Amino acid sequence: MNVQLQGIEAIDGTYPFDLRVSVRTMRINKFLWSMTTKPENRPQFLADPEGCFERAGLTEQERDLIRKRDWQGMIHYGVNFFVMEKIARLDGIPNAVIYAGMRAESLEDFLKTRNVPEAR
Amino acid sequence: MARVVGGIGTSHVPTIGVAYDRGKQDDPAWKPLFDGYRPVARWLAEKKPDVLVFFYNDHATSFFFDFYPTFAIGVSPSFAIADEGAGPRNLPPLKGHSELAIHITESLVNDEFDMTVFQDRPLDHGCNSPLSLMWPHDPDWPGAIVPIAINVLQFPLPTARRCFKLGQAVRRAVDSFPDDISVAFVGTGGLSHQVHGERTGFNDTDWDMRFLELIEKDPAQLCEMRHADYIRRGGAEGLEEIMWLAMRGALAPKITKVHQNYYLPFTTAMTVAVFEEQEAGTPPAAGRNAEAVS
Repeated sequence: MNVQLQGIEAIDGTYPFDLRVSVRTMRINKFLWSMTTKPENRPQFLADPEGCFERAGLTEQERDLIRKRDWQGMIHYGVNFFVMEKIARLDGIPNAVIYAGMRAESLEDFLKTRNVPEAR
Repeated sequence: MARVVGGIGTSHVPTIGVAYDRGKQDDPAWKPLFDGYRPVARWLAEKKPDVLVFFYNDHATSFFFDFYPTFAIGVSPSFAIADEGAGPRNLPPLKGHSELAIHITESLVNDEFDMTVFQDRPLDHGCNSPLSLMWPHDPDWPGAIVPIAINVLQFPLPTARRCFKLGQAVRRAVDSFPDDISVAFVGTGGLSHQVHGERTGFNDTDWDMRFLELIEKDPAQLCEMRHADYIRRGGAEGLEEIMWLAMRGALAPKITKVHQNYYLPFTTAMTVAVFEEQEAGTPPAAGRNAEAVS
């Protein structure tokens, strides 16, 4: 156990991305990172996601999380947030949608919790 | 010898850059933010630092978990603006300062900070989102930057104290640079925010104000805090505040805050603060791996 993180389990709704998680989720994180940060891969990913999943050897669970843009599910699975948000850039989806999704709320309800909902 | 003109702590929220690019300077939702950066731009215009030493983090843009550095320094003469998925921002490439960056690297490694060194890696919003508000860049940036990336993404992260000591070691390096140039230190990230999990949207303004007081007057207290403490008080991604400690470690024990702006419109407590040393040119505690100021 990392002593710097002692007590973290008492903080609800928080999933520290540590090396154990990173090793377990390397395949899906690397897939999403390479599909999003390398411009040459983006058109293929958007046009034929199933073919990309197949070539990367993702599990059915991993494919489904990406297909559904299941933001909450991806975080629970161990996808790194900063890798995940890059799919939303390709989709043209603002981060506010991801935030609401991770909280299992509608975007409208999430915006009500913000001081200046227009500043998104 | 290089001269130090002061330090800046700033958030690096990507939406700051997006709002800037969309010309929202007078939009009521964004005006309090942009207005808060004008005094910073004036301070930089007045002090004219040749180089900004920039403690920042990459957001799984140019660095990925297949090879992830804890501390990395960029030594290129220029750095492209990263494409983070929606195309690169329309900004000129950032100028690097190879001579200073190489000198800092040599000094750090001899001082037992074994840096990873990078070249030709684009810099993401961790650098460019606040910079575009602080430094006029049409047609080109007024100075160079030395980017020093800190791992705040994949645990184990460097401790708060280690970041402070890194800043102290970087200051020793800058003080021993022979050329007559001026330098400011910039620490980026925070303040309170969390953008993953069900706790997304967490903020705590009381903690933010406490942090701002301690970073100026008693950074030793911040060095004592563990990562879990930062996450509890400031949110999981608010932990980026440890990068402000690197900036603080590079400044003299006694500093004065000459400007502060705090605006919490959405998910991040967007903050910028400017610090000057009370006795100009007073270096931080000397000696290898010096302790935090008491």
